[in-house]
This record gives sequence, structure tokens and C-alpha cells, in this order.
Amino acid sequence: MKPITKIAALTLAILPVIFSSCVKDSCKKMHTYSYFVPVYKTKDEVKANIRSNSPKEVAYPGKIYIRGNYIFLNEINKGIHVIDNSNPSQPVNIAFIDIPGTLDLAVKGNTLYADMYTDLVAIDITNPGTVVLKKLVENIFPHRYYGGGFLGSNAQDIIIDWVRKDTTVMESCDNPRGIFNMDGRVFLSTANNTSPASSLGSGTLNSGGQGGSMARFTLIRDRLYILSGADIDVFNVSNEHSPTLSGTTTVTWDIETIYPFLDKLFIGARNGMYIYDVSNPDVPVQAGKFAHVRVCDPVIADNTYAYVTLRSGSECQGFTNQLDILQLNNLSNPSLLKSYKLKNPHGLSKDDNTLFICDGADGLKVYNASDVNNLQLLDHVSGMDTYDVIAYNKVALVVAKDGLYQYDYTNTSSLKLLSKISINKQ
Amino acid sequence: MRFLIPICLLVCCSVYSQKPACSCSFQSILSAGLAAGKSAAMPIFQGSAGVNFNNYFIGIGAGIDAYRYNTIPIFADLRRDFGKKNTAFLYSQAGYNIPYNNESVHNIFGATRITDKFGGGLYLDAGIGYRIHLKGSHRLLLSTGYSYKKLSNNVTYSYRCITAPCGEDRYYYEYSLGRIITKISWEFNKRRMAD
Repeated sequence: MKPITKIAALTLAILPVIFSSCVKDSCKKMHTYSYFVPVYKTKDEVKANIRSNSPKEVAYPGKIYIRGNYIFLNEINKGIHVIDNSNPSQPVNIAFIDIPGTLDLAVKGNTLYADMYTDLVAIDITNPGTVVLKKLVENIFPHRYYGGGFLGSNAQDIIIDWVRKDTTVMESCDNPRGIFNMDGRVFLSTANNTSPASSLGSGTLNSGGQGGSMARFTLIRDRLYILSGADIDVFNVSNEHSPTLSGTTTVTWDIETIYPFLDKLFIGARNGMYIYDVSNPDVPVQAGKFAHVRVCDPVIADNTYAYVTLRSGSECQGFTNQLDILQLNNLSNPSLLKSYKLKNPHGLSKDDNTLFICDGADGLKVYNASDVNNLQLLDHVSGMDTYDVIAYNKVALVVAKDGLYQYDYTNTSSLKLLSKISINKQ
Repeated sequence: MRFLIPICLLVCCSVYSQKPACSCSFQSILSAGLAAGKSAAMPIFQGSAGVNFNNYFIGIGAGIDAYRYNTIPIFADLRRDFGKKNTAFLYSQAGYNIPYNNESVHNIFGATRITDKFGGGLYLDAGIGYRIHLKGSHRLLLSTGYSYKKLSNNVTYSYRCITAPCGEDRYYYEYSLGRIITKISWEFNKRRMAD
């Protein structure tokens, strides 16, 4: 190598060492965080507004109830959409009942029952276009609270909404991010309760209508059964417009769903399925229990079998995603008959021998369940993230993340989309 | 930037198709090196192709730059040779760097969803080099210079809550990264157009 080449190579090698200390990395950081400010109304103002107001677009759909030609769809923490479903191919959103803090609903005759934070309301829905508040029972759900334990500044007022506030600040790039950088701020969710947000839909058949498999309210004859914390609260609704608390039975923490069949209540909890006998309607008595791994588990039942979907993830914990079919010959000791692997099953519904399962992001699955030992997949509707389904009168009402779908299942091997009410989260 | 590559290819092709009119040659340069800055020293790889005429080289190039965040710089490359037998040269590169393989979405205990997205930005590199003539039309280049890359990063923390809407933290970072780049390159001519 020539001397000049050596010098050049050496110089070029040394230069970076000399100058690397002169260069720098600069970083600008903008942090935008959101928090929610409560909007209050007095209880009297709230009560006056529990009526058929102008229809609103569906944004955060919750549980659902079918009664006659009407669908009552919960808008989480805001109220209930009233949808005229006389023509399932063309449902019409006709009204919105403002009920702040509502998550659950059930219908008996012409009366709709719903929670309003810690209270229970009974609403006359004889004419769904002009509903009337009949009764408000206070402090029925003591376990309800706002996110972060927030109780509000005035117990007499009710939070009807939260206004989002965005704040942007310049920060040092060395500051930690996310949950390690709360700066004393508190993020308030719109509400908190013992039921998961994904508990959508409800599934019971009674004199009032039908809900899905993930309900926390259900009716058997003249009693309204409500899961509240670790308890089953029993309300006598023989006078529909005036529910009165007639009993309370403690089950266990983590109870999530309730499903009635004949004189039995099937209760889904995270550690198992409980069967309660309600021969004495005010005093539910445990008749049996089937324990399983710790997951979420909506349940439905018929004369012979209970169908339990077990799902894992987030609030449900666990790693199990399957359908368990339980033999109910001996109610005191239900036994596992067979399990079927699924992706992330949520709500389910059964009409005759056709079983519908919402398998989360894997869509809706339809099975021939005439032989429970050998379920046959009849149809699989993909492309939607499903939560719950109600199959009733050859129309399957499916709650999904992006809307409320209705399918005609006259041909169970080929479901036909009738309509979709889209969700608008602005 | 999308139009830069076809335009430069067109220029190169037209150079090939032209009758010899000047002392031009089609030239390629492949480089490997190290980008050393305040944060780290990371490898870089580059390739340039263009036309050399009257001691000037003009071309386009692309590379891989792993300093702090992975990016693909796409740039115009301008060089000026000088000295006896053109043994020394100045170079400058200017273009845009495209982030790659940095984005991620992950969950913490199912309670917090973190979304990481990057945006590109300006890319600059300028310096001085020394050319060692090898056999035929092959040469070895040693160079060092200052390089700058800019990119942005959007990070969103979405907190799960029982009922929507839930809290959210959004972070916007803008990085301006200065480095000293040392490269060793292999330069070769495809053909001498004026010969």
C-alpha cells in the first residue's frame, strides 16, 4: 500500500472518532392525554327524561331484548334504543329512552326493567313510541360504581355523560410513557360494574320476549332475577309496574350470566356453572354445580343438556376457548359430555336442533346439534366480530362490534343477511 | 420520491442509448459502513448507480440504516472527484428515509394496547473520501462524513376499561439523528461511453 493511501485510510478512520462526540440526537416529544369530565343532572331531571326521545345512532351497543316486533337495544350507560323490527329486512330505530348508567334490561308483559347505576327502573312500554316511567327503586345495586372508585361530587346528582378533554404538553423524551407516566391523573371510564363490557345480549324466553345468553336480568313467571355482585336479587313483579325486592341469595363472586329454563336458573360464573332451583320463587336454592377452569362462560340449557361457552382473554383470564356440553340427567351433579374447540366463543342461542355460537372475531357459527356428540357445522358467517345472538322465529339477531345484524336461517346451511344496523362511534 | 427512481432509471437508460458524446461512464457503488452517534454505532448498507462525467457523478441510491430505528434511505447521490488520478472525492446524498420493521402492536396483561407507528423524514449524508484504484475498472473507496436522518414516531396507549370510551395517551416523537458515517465501498464502471 502506498504511503499516501495509508495516510488517507488512517485519516478517514480517525475522523469519525474525533467528530462522533460532536454529533447529537435530538428528540421532541408531545404528549396528548385524555381524561373525562362528568356531566351531571339532578335525579328529577333524569327521571323526567326517561321517555321516548328522538332516536339516536347506535354507538356502544350492549344487551338486547326482543319483544314482539320490537328490539330493545342497550346503549351502554346511556339508554335503550327502541327499534321497530316489523320488517327484519328494514328495521327502524324509532326512539331512544335516556337511562344513564344502564347496562341490563328485561321485559315482562308491557314493562321494561333496566338498571340506572344503583337504581332499578320499571317503564311501561305498551306503546314503545311513548314509554312512561312507572317506578324507580333506589339503591338496588350497591356494587355499581364509577371508574376509579369515583363517586361524583354530589350523591343526589347523576352522571349522564362524560366529556372528553384532550390536553397536549411538551415533555422530555426521557420521561416514561403510558401507565408509568400518570402524573397523578385519573382516567375515568364512563362507569364500572361487575359485568364485563363484552357481556352483550341476553337469552331468555318468558312471557315478555327473548334475550340472549349473556344477560344479568331474567324473568320466570312473576319474578325478576338479577345478578348483583355475588347475589341473586329476586323481585316480585306480579304487579308489573311496581317491582318489590322479595329475596336475596348469595351465590359467589364472579357470577356473570343468568339463563332460565323451566324452574331452574343456570348461572355462569368464572369458576363454573351453577344451577339454582326456584320452586320457591323467592328463595333460589343451589341444585348443582359444574366447576371449570377460570374463564368467562355464558350458558344456555334445554331439557337434557347445558351448553356452556368458555372463553379466555383480558377480563376473562384463562386459556380455554371451547364449547362444553353438559349432561343434565342428574342436576345435582352435571357431567361433561363433550367439548368442542372454538376460537373465542361468546354468546350462544339454540332453536330446536340448531345451535348458534358467536365465536368472537371468527364470526357466527351454526351447528346441527341433533347429536350433541357429533355437532355438524352447517354454516359459518365470517367477517364480523360477534358478541351475542338471539335465534328466534327463523331470524338470528347478531350483535357484532360493527353493528346489529339480522339473518334469516330458514335454510340453516346458508344464512341470508336481512339487514344491518351500523354502529356510529363518530 | 416515488417518481425519482423511474426518472433516474430513464436517465441511465438514455445515457446507455446515446451515442458517445462525452467522457461518460455508467457507474455503480456498493457500500458498507458504520453510523456512529451519541446513542450507538450501527451498520449501514448502501448502493448507488448513476453516470460519471467530467469528474462528476450523479446517481440515485438506496440503503439500509439501522441507527436507532430501522430505515430505508432513498437518495440522490452527487460526487465530485479531484486530485491526482481522481484519488479524492467529495460526496453528498440527499433524500428521504422510510421506516421499516419498527411498527408494533402489543397488549400488556390485556389491559393496555400499545400501538407504535413511525413516519419517515429527511435523509442527508455528506463527506469526503479517498479512492484506491484496483484492477481494471474496479476501485475501493474509503469515506467518512456527517449524516442526518429525521423520523417521527406515534405511540398510542389505549387503556382498557369496563365501558367505553376509555382513557388514551398519545405520544408524538420527532427524532433528528446526527451521525458520523464511515464507509468502505466498491466502485465499478459498466462501460466507458466515450472510449
